[in-house]
Amino acid sequence: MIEVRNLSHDYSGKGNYAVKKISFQIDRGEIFGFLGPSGAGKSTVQNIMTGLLKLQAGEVTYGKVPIGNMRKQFFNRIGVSFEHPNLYAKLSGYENLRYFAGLFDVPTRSPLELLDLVGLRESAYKKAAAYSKGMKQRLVFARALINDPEILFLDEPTASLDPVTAANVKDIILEKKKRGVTIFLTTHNMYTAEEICDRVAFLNDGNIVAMDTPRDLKLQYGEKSVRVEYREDNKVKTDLFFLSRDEDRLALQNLVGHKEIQTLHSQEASLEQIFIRLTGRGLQA
Amino acid sequence: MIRRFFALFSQDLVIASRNALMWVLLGALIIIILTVRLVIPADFEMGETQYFYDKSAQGYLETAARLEGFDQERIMGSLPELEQVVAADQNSIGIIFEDDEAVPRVTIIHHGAISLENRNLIAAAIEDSLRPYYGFSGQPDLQVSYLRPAAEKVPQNQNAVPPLLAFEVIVNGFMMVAVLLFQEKMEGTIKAYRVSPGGPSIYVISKAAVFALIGIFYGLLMVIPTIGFSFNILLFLIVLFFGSLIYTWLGLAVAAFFNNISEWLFIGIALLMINMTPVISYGWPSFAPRWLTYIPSYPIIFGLREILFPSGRSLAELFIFLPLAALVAYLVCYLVVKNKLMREGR
Repeated sequence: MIEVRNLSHDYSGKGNYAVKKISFQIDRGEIFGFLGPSGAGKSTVQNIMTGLLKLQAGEVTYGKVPIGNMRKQFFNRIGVSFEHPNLYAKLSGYENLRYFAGLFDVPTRSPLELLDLVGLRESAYKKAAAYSKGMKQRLVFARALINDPEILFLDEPTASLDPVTAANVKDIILEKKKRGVTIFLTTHNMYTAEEICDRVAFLNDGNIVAMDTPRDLKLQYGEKSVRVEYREDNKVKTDLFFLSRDEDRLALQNLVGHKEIQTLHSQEASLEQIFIRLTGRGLQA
Repeated sequence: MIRRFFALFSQDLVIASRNALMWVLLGALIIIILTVRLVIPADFEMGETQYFYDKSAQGYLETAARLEGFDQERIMGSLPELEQVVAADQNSIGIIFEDDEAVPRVTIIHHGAISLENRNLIAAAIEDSLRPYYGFSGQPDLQVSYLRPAAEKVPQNQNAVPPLLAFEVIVNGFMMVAVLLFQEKMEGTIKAYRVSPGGPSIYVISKAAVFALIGIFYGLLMVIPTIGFSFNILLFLIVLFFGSLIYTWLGLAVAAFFNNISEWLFIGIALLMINMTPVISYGWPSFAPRWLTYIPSYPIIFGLREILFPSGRSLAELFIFLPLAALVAYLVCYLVVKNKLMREGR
């Protein structure tokens, strides 16, 4: 449905590319995660895909229609949640949504219903300036849903949220997916990506270094390991054994046969470990 | 389109009304009304006080001065006395009259420089008063004809209202739209607007409509307490409406090139000062070089004066100028907003 081919972008015009010839496609109803540390080029790609940045090189098509040919109708079909909450501080949460809804030609959702959905019903008539960072983030997320979009662009939607609220936002995203909404999720939070994305792409220095489902990435690049807690000399000790290594397997057998085992967990590599293995740097960097 | 306009217009109006500058406007309005009604007198003439000393035996000037209605205290008994009162009053002149065997001679003493025109006027006035005493009884044959009925004299305090309307009420949009724009840039809300179907034309029209409405209310609140209802309100509203549109669009077109009020300040204030130069023509109508008349505030200030204090002058040119200037300002603003503001960071 959405196809990005050989996309490049150079802010300076001097050959310092923020994004270098990247290609991917997103199917209808898919949650596609774009993972990478700050400055990797994630927001640049999202901004080109939403028309905020001019397409310099490559192609971005929606259902085979190039983004350059998209008119106002395109904006009726998309919803964008920004990383930095951009709200009218002098307007209440309700007013921010109500006036924004008035800009669309398609039926829009009730602002109060949306505020209820993201847990801001009680603060609906407070000015946005008085909202906490997390509340602002939720309001921006709610605004992205106002026109019931077919395509959602979410830039760090769970940043600054407490675990309970973040879980609520993730549930809303999954509910949208169930309804056939295509979601482009930009994040550096591997847990969010792992939980809700159908596929993820690792972006580093403007290049896609890996792209697959989280499970296949783990199978392809991750190493299974066993974490053991055991008692020795009246102390609890911990060891990690990688099952792909012969010496680790033998050591594990020896430990299980001769020591008092307290806990034993098999574990998979996380997306962050895989990212570090592929790029040599962490996602939080 | 209409729904979109009203959504954005309502939003902009609410945001503008919650801006602290609205309180500044309200304060300025109260100060202006009080100044016009209580501080500036309805009539004042800046002129010098004349003191006389008549050295002639016949006392012709003394008699003439009394006949002209001057008080006795203006007529001095000696030259030192005259010099003393003139020295004490910076805005005074002393007139000394001598008659040397039927040859009159007048000496004027004054502070600082006196123009040739003023000196001649004083001489003509004295000569006119003394004519009968020297055997000239006839009056010069002068005729005055008026091109149109003479306009009623405008009270000085009310005369200050048209410039206040032109340079406070109408240009309000020029400054306020910049404040609103910088607020939007700081909050990043323009980015959100750009991913909506809004578009530049509604954005530009909505901002101008808000400040046209504020301008109309501000103008009426200023004029009614200071002048009353004795003018054509419809024409007045049309000038305020178009004037506010023109200045809001120009203000938006200029502000789009800056990121905050500090960057804008120098250029913004410089443009506002240039825009105020027609006030010189308003005070001294004979000063009207061609370039000055091209500044939009020039026809507006004189148009407002004609509407508030009719003298029979035609307003046709003004009402052709206003929509044309508004159209040009809209096109300039639209192009800047579309190609600059809505593409920032592209």
